[in-house]
Order: sequence, then C-alpha cells, then structure tokens
Amino acid sequence: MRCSKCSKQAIIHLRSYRLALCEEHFIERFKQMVKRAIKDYRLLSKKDRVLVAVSGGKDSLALWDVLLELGYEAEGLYIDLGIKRENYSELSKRKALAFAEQRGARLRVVDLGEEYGVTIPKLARRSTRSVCGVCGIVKRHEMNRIALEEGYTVLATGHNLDDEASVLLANLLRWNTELLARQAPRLEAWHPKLRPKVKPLCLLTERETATYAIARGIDYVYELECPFSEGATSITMKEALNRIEERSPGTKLYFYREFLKRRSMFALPEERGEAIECEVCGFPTTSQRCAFCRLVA
Amino acid sequence: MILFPMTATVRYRGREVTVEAGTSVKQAIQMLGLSLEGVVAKVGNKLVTEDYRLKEGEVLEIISAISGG
Repeated sequence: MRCSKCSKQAIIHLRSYRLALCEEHFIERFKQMVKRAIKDYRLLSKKDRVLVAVSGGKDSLALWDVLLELGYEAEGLYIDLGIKRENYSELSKRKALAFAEQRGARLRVVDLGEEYGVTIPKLARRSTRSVCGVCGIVKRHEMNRIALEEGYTVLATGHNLDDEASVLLANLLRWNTELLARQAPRLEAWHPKLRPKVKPLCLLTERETATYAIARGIDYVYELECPFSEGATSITMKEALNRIEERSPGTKLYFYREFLKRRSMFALPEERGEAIECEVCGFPTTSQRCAFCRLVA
Repeated sequence: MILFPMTATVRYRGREVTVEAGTSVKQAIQMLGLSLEGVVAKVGNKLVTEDYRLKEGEVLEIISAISGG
C-alpha cells in the first residue's frame, strides 16, 4: 500500500479517513490532529507550563513527545505505584526515565512507598473501592500536589479517542448522566489549589498513538499492561467499539465529537458541598479529610 | 520428492504460529481473532499495513494497541 500523499510505502491505513500514510506524512498528520484538538477544545496555550502524567506506556510518552515537538513547555510526572506484579512499576519507570533522558526533558518521580509508606495494592486491600478507583484518587491528588508545588498551570494526560469513546459508551449504557455531563477534553479546576486537566490525544485512536510511538522510536512498555487492568470494563467497551469501527469506519470519532456538541443536554452535577481544606494535606474536600488522606492514613 | 510449504511466523503476546508464506497481515490478524483496529503490525523493524504479504522466513509481530484500567 502506498502513501496517499507520496509514493513511499505506507505504514498505516486509516480506513475512517480513506488514507494510507508513510512514516513522514503520518507523523505530520498526528501532530496536526493534536494541534486541532488543542485549538478546537482550547486545551493549552504556549504560555502554559504543562505537567504530563507519564506512565511509561505508549499514550503518555507519545503525548509528551508530541507536546515537546510542538514547542510546549512540558515536563513529566511519573508516580511509582509500587505494583510489583510482573515487575510493572519498575519496568514502566525505567521506560519513562529513558525517554526523559533521551529527550533532555525533566521527569519528576514520586514514589508512593517513599513518600507515604504505601503502595496501590496495599491501599486497595484496605479500601472498599476498586483498585482502579483507588489508583485514580492517588494519581489525581499527586498530580495536583506537584503542579501546585512546582508552578505548573495545567495537567495533561494521554487519554486517547478509544479511552474517551469507551468511557462514553459505558456511561451511556448505564445512563450515568452525571458522569456524562463531566466528560470533556478539558476539565476545569473548581478550586484554586487544583489545575485544569487536558487530553490532547482525544481525537487519535490507540492504534494511531502506538504507530506514532513506534515510528518515533519511543521505547514504551509493549503490551505490559497494569496487571490490575485484566477484565476491566474499558477493555470490553474498546473491543466492542473496534468491531463496530471495522464495519463502519469513522464511528468512534463521530460518536465522540457529536457527544461533545450535545454534552450540555445531560443534567449538570448537583452543586458540590462547600469546599473546605483537608485537615492533613490542605487540598479541597467536602469532608474533614480528603479521599486521598483517608486512604493513606 | 517431498515439497515443504514455504512458511512464515506470526508472533503475538509471546506465542508463535507458523503460517504459509503469502499470508497477508489482515489474514494473520483475523486468524488470531483480533480486530484490525486494535493492533499494529511489524515485520522486522518496519510497520506494515494489512495488505502486506509475508515472505518465506519472515516474522510478523502483532502488537496490541489496547490498554485498559
């Protein structure tokens, strides 16, 4: 298959766009799609100091790479969750550090064990929440903490179109209108101690981010998924959407973009209780201690 | 005289399957029960599209792009 823009060998066939692209033109298009998401959804400006949440996987490293290529001031944060199964944390940290060194970029590392004397598996055992739920609380808290301490203006995560479309599908199937109202490429901060969170890869599929990472020579954790993600609903949703996409190319992007145009039709979340500061860490909460501090106490 | 078919290898998540040379990437992906939308394919260091046909002795590596959790 030849590139639709030149005569070179294509490395990817984008059926939804009826486009086959060589390495050079694919990378160019990838950057264009990130720029489009940033522009259409007002995600970032060049004045922002961006803190990129880095896991060592393809999406976060691809995101960091493309933001650096586009000239953003983007530094990384890796949180060592202490997941020893399959050597997950150790391997993923190694990839994140290697990328940072190769790019000459700054990576901040937070080790949960050193910082708080806990790991995600340990916290999950103590809690009634799911492992993913616990992990989400921890990561959000630490991202906001580091952003506040070090003066970053926005947080960026590697959520891609497959992530967004699968969450959208799951929330629609359950008619979780509160979550539907809150799903967006940019989540505004509701308190001065928090930071807005953006998803610049939201118009790109996982297949595209994987292709970008490989084409750019980014050494990521191939197929080493978090061991706790086995059986996750998100994977079921993604597989279902991929089957639909095969038969009807363009479905995922249309589904997501059209939802964003209609998001306001879903009920707004109830007013938050008045925010007070957590008695331990000082971050906003509606109870005496925030969810994070209740977990690690 | 015994003629042995020319073969190639398909590798996915550490498992290897032998296929006939001439098998396309699309056929290999479908044989594994995977979706074209959820994987990328490499032969050696090169990314290949679904119409690529494997030559004798080549190793097709199929990498899942799906992440979860």
